[in-house]
Amino acid sequence: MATFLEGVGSIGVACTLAALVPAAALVLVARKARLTVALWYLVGATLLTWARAGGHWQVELSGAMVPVAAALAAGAFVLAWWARKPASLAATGSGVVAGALAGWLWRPCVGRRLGDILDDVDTEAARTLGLMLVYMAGALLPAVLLAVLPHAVPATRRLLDRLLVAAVGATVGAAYAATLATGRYDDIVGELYRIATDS
Amino acid sequence: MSLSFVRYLALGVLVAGVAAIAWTTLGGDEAGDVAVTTTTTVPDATDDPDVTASTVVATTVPPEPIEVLGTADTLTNLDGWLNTDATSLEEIRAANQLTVVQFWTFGCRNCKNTLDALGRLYTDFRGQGMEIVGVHSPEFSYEADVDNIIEAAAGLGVVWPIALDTDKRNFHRWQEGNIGYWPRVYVIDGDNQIRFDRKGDGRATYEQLYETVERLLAEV
Repeated sequence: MATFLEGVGSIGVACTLAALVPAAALVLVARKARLTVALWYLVGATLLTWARAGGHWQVELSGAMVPVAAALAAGAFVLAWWARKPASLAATGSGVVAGALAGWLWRPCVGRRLGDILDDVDTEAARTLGLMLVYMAGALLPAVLLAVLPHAVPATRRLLDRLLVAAVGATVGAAYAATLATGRYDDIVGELYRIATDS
Repeated sequence: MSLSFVRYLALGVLVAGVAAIAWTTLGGDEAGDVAVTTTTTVPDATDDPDVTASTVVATTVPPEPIEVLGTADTLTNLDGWLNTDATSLEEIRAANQLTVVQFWTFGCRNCKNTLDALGRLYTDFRGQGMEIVGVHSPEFSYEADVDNIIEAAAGLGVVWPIALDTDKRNFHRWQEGNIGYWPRVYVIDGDNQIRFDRKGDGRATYEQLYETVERLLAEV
């Protein structure tokens, strides 16, 4: 529970926004498969974050990988839009790819429990993978709640199903891909954070 | 499974999630940290059958040797130093038996959480052969501005030497393999060996750091 709450506590931190903003935008775009996309995003982000920490994924985001990352981001948003059913390959693929991309890009500000997880990744693989999933569930909670909202409060479905809402998500997705391509994504998130904390 | 059950389940998740966010926003996740002292509870050796009290006996576990975790790298391609006349890590290491190197950035909340503990370390052991070097590796562009760093360091009470690693070259070289965490702290001994390497802002981590520095200084 403490690990989950530490993840929740990191929601407002700029480091976490870099993973959370694309997740929320993807959920807005995936009108027919919000929950599927959100949950697979969580799985993808957890796996890549854990794999990086354990040294199992060492591909650097530089050179030729920059346009690849941007293309993956754009592709994940297109797939999310195309997904017509919750149990579809498009929805699953969109969530996994976007989540894995977030896990690849994410440079976390490390709290106590995440620090312990990262310190133990080499020696306790299974336990730390589970704990990482719990932590990420907390950090990405707003995106999951956004996906759950129309199921919990059906009246919100009409609002969330509007094309305008999906367009907002798509705009964020396009900006995400564009800033990834130009290497400016972290700076934009940081600037948003600075503006928010200065006001 | 009926539709209403799914709705109730979703509603439960929603309420619990919002409650978790509210709880952490209001500071509810400031639970106590792990204790450092090991305690053992043993029955009280008394002849009086009415007395059922037990006694908590603190036992000190013999400390394990402090491992050598590898050879420390150096700091290169820096954009300068603050709070010191030194111009290299080697210069600082030569003047001290231990060097605590922390990678941090002033906008990182978890880094800020560690500054009180580092301040205590600095107060207690500076002048006894230990120096702290805060390697400032900015995550965002506003953290790269040297005026912002100076202002933040003054405001946060960071009085120990700061190495300006603006392009994060050292941050990435010290943390090999497509990773990089803030904060991360190392202790380097007089033989340039890493004796402590931890990530995160845990109180237990910084208590262990204090204990490690204290023990290593005593060994010298």
